[in-house]
Amino acid sequence: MPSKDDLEERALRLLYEAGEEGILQSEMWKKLGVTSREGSRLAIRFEERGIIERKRVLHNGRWTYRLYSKRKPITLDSLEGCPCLTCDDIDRCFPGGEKSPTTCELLERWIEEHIEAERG
Amino acid sequence: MNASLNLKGHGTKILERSMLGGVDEERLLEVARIIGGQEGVEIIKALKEREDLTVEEISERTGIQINTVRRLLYKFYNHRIVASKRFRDPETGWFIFQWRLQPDLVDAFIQGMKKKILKKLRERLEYEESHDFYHCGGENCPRLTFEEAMEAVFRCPKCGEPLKPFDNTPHKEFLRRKIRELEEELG
Repeated sequence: MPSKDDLEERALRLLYEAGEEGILQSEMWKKLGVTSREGSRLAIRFEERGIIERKRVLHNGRWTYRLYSKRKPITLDSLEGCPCLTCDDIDRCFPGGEKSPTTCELLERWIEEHIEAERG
Repeated sequence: MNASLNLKGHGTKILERSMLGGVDEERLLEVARIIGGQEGVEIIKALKEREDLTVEEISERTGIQINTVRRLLYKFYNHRIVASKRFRDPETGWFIFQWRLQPDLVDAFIQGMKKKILKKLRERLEYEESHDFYHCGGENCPRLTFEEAMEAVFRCPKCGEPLKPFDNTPHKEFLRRKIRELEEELG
């Protein structure tokens, strides 16, 4: 029999992989091979810990819950095109230094490009 | 291969999952590109296919020169994306290094980079907020601080045109937004 931690880990994995679409509570317990009661308890526990969001939905004429992981995938999207990402001097870059975020032309260009794009 | 996903802040321990399929693979290769460019991507792909490869084996599989493979592996090693183990060659007595991926540390690398860049953006914002700027309007001419403009007698040092006050509000707004975004992502 899987331990409580194993079960939680598998459940979290399912929830994380379900992404923005979420997963039906009933689907989750079927995949985990646990009873509806156990699955429901698990979902409530996760909700109480703030790991997931539970939304009541009507599915095949029955009320159930759809579960959504609150953890967002870690991506680099917010830094797309940022020159610091590929800069070899990032650890030697500081205000007043030879390389500085206040005078870096590449950083300036990145900021300017975003401002231009926003202006349309 | 399994890797760990740290769900820090969610009151849970480590979550095991396959890292080398779908989005995770994409992220791994994105990080490889950031650290080592296209050659870095090829090296990571080779290590993804098979663990515990020597520099020579990686070079053979990717067609990248041994020196370049070695240099990039050390770069990946510095960011903990790869690990090595060494053993002694029974015939020559020399040490042989074998390399393998540590994809579970890709997320840590991304978060680390975000923290570093957040610091740079905060420093830049502070600079933008604490200075007045002047510019001649020329596309390729530099923006000067008030002090620099004074020294240049309010003439552009590049084109000689008179300098006018420059409104850096959009710069500050962009930086504030980006800082907020990164702060939210870092939690």
